[in-house]
Amino acid sequence: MRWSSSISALLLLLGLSVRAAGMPCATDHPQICDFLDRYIASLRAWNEPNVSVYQKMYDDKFVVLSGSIEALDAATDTTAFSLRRYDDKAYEVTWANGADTLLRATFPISYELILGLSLPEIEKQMPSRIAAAPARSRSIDTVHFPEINLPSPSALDTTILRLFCGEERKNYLLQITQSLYGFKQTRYTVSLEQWLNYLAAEQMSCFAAIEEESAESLRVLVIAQNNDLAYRHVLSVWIPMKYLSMDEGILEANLTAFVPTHNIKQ
Amino acid sequence: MRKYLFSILIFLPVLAMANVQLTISDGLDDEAVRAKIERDLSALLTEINDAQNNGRALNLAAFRLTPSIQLSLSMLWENAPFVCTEETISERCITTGTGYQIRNIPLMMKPREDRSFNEQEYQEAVVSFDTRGNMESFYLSLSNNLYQAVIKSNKQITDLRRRQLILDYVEQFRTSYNTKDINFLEQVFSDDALIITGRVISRKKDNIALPDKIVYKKQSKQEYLTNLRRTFANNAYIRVTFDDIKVLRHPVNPHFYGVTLHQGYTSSRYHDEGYLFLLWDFTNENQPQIHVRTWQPDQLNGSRIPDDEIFSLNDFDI
Repeated sequence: MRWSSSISALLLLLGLSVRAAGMPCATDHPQICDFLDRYIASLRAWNEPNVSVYQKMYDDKFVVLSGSIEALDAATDTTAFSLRRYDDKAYEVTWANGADTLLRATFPISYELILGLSLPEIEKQMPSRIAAAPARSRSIDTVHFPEINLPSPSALDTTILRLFCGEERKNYLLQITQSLYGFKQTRYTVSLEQWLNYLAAEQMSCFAAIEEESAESLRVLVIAQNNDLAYRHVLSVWIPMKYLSMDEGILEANLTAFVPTHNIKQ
Repeated sequence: MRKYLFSILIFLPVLAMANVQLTISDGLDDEAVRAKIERDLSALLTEINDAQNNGRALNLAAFRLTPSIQLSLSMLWENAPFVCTEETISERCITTGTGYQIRNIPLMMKPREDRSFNEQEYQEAVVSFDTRGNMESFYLSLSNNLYQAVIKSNKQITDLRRRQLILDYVEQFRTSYNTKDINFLEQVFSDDALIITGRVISRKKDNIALPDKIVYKKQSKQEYLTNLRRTFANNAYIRVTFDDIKVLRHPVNPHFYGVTLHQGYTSSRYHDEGYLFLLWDFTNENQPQIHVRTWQPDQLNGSRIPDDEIFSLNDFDI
């Protein structure tokens, strides 16, 4: 392919990028761009003796709507790229030279497909991903589940939402027991702040609600949702009631991470 | 003298429990690991008691603890020092996915006067170890009565959480086929699981083709897994995909959920598509089980099979 640095800079300004080894792509979706580079290269090099490349694309649900993989050979510096996301279900990508569509394709928002990692591989990365998140500079959006009907949230409901979705800062530590594939577990401790930094860094939206309430403690459900890669993290946190008036404390939490959402019907 | 004696009596119980001896009653057969856990945890609890009795900070240098346990213990200690209330502890060892766990270590919190402490003073510790007996975590569990004394429960939220767990286990279930993980399937199917597999049969009568029909074969867990082992061995490539996942809670038994989904199966020798139904029992959320698995083709005589012919929760008496 033929890319020049001056045109690359211009395309960056336009929200496109030309990476050293790849095709034109969206700068704000580096994971999708990396996937497209990797996936298209893997199709071109497909060499599985018993499974055709068409079967692989069928299994991956990578559907060519128009154009072809081969037509991407005609991509140049001026090739237009567009990326569209359909909720948390699918992406549609298009490369075109003017009115000539080189390739228009859709694929499901499966993190396993896009990241090239299986569930056991990606869930093991969770502690290091949390630890690596920089201090957040943006607020965390909240997400609502239509099946949850809380007609009149109490002050406590609001406090919990603010606490676990980042609007109120406390020096709590989360002692997380994370479920892993195959009935395994891992344990680690992170600050609530760092957990929230992670949600912001991954551009996740957040839901928090009280599941159980006793005189002594609360059990809170926290769901963090990533629509760009279609997964959820599910955190159950136990909070001794008296901690709510304190600025610090150690909270026990169970985490189920990377629950896929792209293939849910209801 | 009387006053002095009283002071001794006050201190005797505290001093007496300085040395703690923990023994594992059962649950761990590896003698070396068992001895290491008993020795290390006894020594740590003894150090905790000694530090509290002498009003000093914990000295963890000799214990080769990971930074996360040191942080956890230091923060607990900073918040409120504590002592182990028993001289001898006999506890069962629990096997976890990553090693072992000892629960129910009795602790009495001894809050400092300069810090508020709003917890119950009696707490229980949970200590986890890796498979070689190295300590991995030390934290306080919520005592059982905290779990039992729920005064308000939001069933909508519990159902939402359970549905996420089910989706996670469904994904694990799919992964187990792609990775040919028979051990996972051994664990997730209940011993009396009912496994029903449909197959399209072409029929003829007097050399005249009749419409195809689906016949169903019932298998036990062991029959199914034996056949699956053979399939795994004979196919280098296995790829299972799940789509259109629907999760329905049983109307009467809230621990039972039916999951219907569309499955794609590709192996080195074969491809099919069909509907999969799984009946999940979440009575034990940490070890859910599948009591029923059905598979049926999604097409018959060139048409998608009607929705009301797809197995669902209504087809099974629970």
